[in-house]
Amino acid sequence: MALTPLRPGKVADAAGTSVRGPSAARRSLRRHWQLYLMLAVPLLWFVVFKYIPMVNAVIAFKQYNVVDGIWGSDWVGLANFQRFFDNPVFERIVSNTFLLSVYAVLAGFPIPIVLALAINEVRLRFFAKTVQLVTYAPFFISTVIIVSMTILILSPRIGLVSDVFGFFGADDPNILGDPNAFRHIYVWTDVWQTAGYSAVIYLAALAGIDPTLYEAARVDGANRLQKIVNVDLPGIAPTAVIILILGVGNVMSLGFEKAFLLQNPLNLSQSEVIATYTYKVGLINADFSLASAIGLFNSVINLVLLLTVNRVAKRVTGSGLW
Amino acid sequence: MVNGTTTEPRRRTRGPQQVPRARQVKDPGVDKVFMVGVYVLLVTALVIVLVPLVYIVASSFSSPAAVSAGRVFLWPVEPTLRGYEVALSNSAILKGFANSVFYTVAGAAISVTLTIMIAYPLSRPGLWGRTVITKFVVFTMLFAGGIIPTYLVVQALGLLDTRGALLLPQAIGVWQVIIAIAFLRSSIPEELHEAAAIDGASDLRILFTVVLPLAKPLIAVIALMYGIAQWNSYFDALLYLRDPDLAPLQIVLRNILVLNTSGGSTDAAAMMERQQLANLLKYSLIVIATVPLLLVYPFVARYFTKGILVGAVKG
Amino acid sequence: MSSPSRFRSRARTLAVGLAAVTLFATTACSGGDDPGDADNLSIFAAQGPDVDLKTNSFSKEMEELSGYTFDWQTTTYDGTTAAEARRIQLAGGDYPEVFLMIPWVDQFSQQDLLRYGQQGVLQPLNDLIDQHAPNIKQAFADSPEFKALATAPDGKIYGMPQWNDCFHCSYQSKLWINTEWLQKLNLQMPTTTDEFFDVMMAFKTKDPNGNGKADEIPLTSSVDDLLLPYFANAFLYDPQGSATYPSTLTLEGGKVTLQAQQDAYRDALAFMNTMYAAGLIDPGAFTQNRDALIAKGDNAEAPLIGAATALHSGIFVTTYQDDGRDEAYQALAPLKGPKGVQYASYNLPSMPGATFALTNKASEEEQVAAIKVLDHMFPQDQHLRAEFGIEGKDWFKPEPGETALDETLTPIARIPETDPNVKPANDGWGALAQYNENAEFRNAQVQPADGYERMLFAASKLYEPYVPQDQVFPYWSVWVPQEESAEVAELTTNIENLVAQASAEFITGSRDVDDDGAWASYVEELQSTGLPRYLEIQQKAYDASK
Repeated sequence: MALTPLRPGKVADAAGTSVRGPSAARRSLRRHWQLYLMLAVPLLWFVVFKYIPMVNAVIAFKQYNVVDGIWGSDWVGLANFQRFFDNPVFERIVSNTFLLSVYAVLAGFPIPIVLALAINEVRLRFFAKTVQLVTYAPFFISTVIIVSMTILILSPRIGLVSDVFGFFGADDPNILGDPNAFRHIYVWTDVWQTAGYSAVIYLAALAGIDPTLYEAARVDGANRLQKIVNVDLPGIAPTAVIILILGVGNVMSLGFEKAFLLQNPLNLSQSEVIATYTYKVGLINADFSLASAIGLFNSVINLVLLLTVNRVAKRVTGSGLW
Repeated sequence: MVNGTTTEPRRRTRGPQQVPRARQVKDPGVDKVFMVGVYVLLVTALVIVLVPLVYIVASSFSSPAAVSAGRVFLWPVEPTLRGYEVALSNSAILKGFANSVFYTVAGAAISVTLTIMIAYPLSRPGLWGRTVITKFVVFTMLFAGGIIPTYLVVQALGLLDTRGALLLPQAIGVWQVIIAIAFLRSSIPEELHEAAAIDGASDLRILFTVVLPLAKPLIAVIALMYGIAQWNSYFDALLYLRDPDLAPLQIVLRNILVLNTSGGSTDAAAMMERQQLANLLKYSLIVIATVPLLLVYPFVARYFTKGILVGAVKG
Repeated sequence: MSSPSRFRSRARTLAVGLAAVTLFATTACSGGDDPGDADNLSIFAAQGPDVDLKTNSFSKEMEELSGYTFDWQTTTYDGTTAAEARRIQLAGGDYPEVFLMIPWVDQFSQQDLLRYGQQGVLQPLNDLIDQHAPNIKQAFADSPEFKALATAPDGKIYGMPQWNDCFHCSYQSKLWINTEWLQKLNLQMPTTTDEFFDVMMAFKTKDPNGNGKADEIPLTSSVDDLLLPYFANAFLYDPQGSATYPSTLTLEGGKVTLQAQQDAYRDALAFMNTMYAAGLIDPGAFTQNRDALIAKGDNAEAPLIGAATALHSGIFVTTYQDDGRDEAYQALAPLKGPKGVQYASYNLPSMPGATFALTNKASEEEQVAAIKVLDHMFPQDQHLRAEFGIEGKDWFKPEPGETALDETLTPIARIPETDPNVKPANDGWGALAQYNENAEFRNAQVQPADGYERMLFAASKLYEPYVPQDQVFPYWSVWVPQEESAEVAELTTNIENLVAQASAEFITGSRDVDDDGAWASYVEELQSTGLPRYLEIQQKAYDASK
């Protein structure tokens, strides 16, 4: 079949890549002054709410004191970082964070895409809408409830899982007490909760695909699967790639609440992540300078990951963040 | 040619020069099998998601004792409206609801406006400085100043204890900006821009007449995301607002729940009565907080229906 | 083509929108209060949804007493977030003149007090108390432990804690056993660990709930309630209360020691492991939260739980059930171990730290006014007014025939049970006012004869005699100095994590408690995690506290 790969984004890329040099700058300014003007307001916002606070992040290098303020506090150089690196549990919590988060990003990536593509195929409007609405709803359930239900379901003796095993005459597995099960529990309940919500963005991307491409596919006699592969997937690919890149670039910023609530003495070896650990330490001694130092450490790793993935993505798919 | 009227692009779809229903699908059998697969997949997903949801709703209408005893599964047992009564009779809840609606609508409007204002220029390939600015934006996602420095800025701007404290500091999400750029770049054919430019349209005019009408799915989705974020916002409200009259619904709901969970009562019996009530409230509060968002969703989802956007390029 | 006018109107909308946004940002500055206002006293307090501090009748009385109008800055009852918000606001230099908090919501920790006290944010209260607070001075004289709790090692009182002499809360680790099952199987209350083992075995095998299924769970608990300490106390003194105080620090002739590295602790783990291996312990005891625990206790088909460790039985079985199953659970006195050891863990029911504090934003007059308000809440009758409200409306003088919780005391008041259906009167400050909650106040309140509180009081009496006073490490009066606080926070977290993890693993068998090598490597792990340094810091801080 003579279906040429249809790349809606391709044309745009070809249009204006050679914008370099001072004369190009002047020409661009003159021609697009409206665009620059438009940019000014959000950029100002970024300066005020993001870059000015960033300057204050120097408290990572200070011993912060309320009365003296950020700039008046004593410099301690890298001491806050040193303390974090010297901690005997440093390696474990960093690798726990990394593995858990990467797993969550990778598992959470394809499922919303599949869900969106499937919903997009359904012609029964009512059914499609119901599936959309229902799968989107769990996003609003608080983590506390999600974890509570998870523990109930997996609990030995009373849980659903226990019933299933009992039905087959097998012994109760102590899933919650198995450190190796922790990541699966964490990630798959996450997928359960967010897949529908994440699919929304792909549904929007699918709706944005130029309908003439579908016409063309039909003319070529493509079946549904071929249409998905040749029109839908290329259509949402730029969005998907970007979501993946942004996900990887956030790997170290894993939240504390869910891991903390799922934690128990038996799964600690895998469930203790940076966020839960700093939370526990902070309960005994709230130290903002240390917290900032750990935050900065996470940011650097995130930056490296993001740049790497962005480069790979650009090479493989031709699209990236910039 | 620029598609002039932006309001009803749908009418233009079935022009006389439309592609004839040329060759039919060669192998309908393949499609049939494929569709069976799709339905099986979706029904499975539906059941997996729906069962715990129904459990939550059923629990919210059941007596706490029945929930605790494991007698509730998909249907209320010893039905009661007690959880809803307690929650909805709280005097703060109406005000909280009104506040939340305001934060959600105003927040989404401000956020979407600002996001488009930055994403549209950055989506234009010809714009000099585009890459640098994009990096400038993405950088803030990685290196956040942290909570105290941000607090200091909000304080310095005099936003503490004002509605602005919830609307402005989180107004732009890097994630949404990047997604918007990608969408605008990939979904709006460059020919449209070129054609409009040849017609002498300015960038602003292209934005309003060409881009925005085609970007409805995008606007819908980022408005939804910003709106949800505002609706769910809890910690910011706690941190920046002290006047209870400004508190959003989530604060009020959490207060109702926490008050009924915590100890404090010196009387153990009274404490347990509250604990029972808290167990019930846990479920009914989720329902109360979620229902408005579920009601809004179909209106947003309209824009995801395929075919609402139609080729603006002729033939 | 769209008409130009239409376009212009859109552009205008956008422009107006933008202007509105920027304007909003600038005009919003008008809010915010000035804590330096002369006639106002700004008070930061936790406010639940059924109290309005602004219109509260006790607030009005206190405004009159102090001569100031109170400017309430309220925070949520949600502890974790309240604490985080309070710290950020403080670190941002944005704090009130007076802090009035609730211990179980959020309060200043000892570390907070030292830090902000030494930075000059929190003002020492010593002189104010001396000169303006006769009732507080009296309370300190009556309970020297109260004064010790409030005083930092440098002799200063940077904030006032709430003194809460809650008798039953002092014994966190109680064991509750199903006496109905005991009767049914014709068994006595066990008194030793061996007898206990046999009873559990009978629970497991002899179908005490009579449903023909071996579905009984002989022994359980939750991650928030800790199974181990009750049993460990039959081998050595184990002070762990609940998950909120998981440390095993004790004193051995004035020397601070960690029980979790002792051989006797290993014996305790070995005993637990034997029970676990025999299938007597619910594996969920180490993984489930209280929701899952009570689901077992309340199980609809039949009562499942034979025994459980918890502060009170209501944690694992809902009280006042139709089938009365909850009444079957009664407290079991501490068991005697194979070597005759028999202890009960003790925790101070008051929370170390402070709930009332004055900041450097308060002028001298304001400080005096605030301390007078605090002082006003100390005497019994005024305390009743402050906490509960108005006599004859919110609480009542005892009638003849009504007895106090502690029957040796003369009853002082009857506080009716709160009815969730009735809107609260908004007359008292509730938990904000519980400063002088000493035994004479708390235990002198009228309680119904068959009430739950009375049952708890009696149950706690079973444990009281078994606390080895000389071994109790008074963690509440041990203040780690500022310089070492960061280090100690990490060491505490690391050591408590390791102890909790390894103990659970030894019990469930993923570490072999009978293998000397496994035990040695655990002890070695404790050393490399910094135990010696941890004990050194604690010893120094303890010595300084004496």
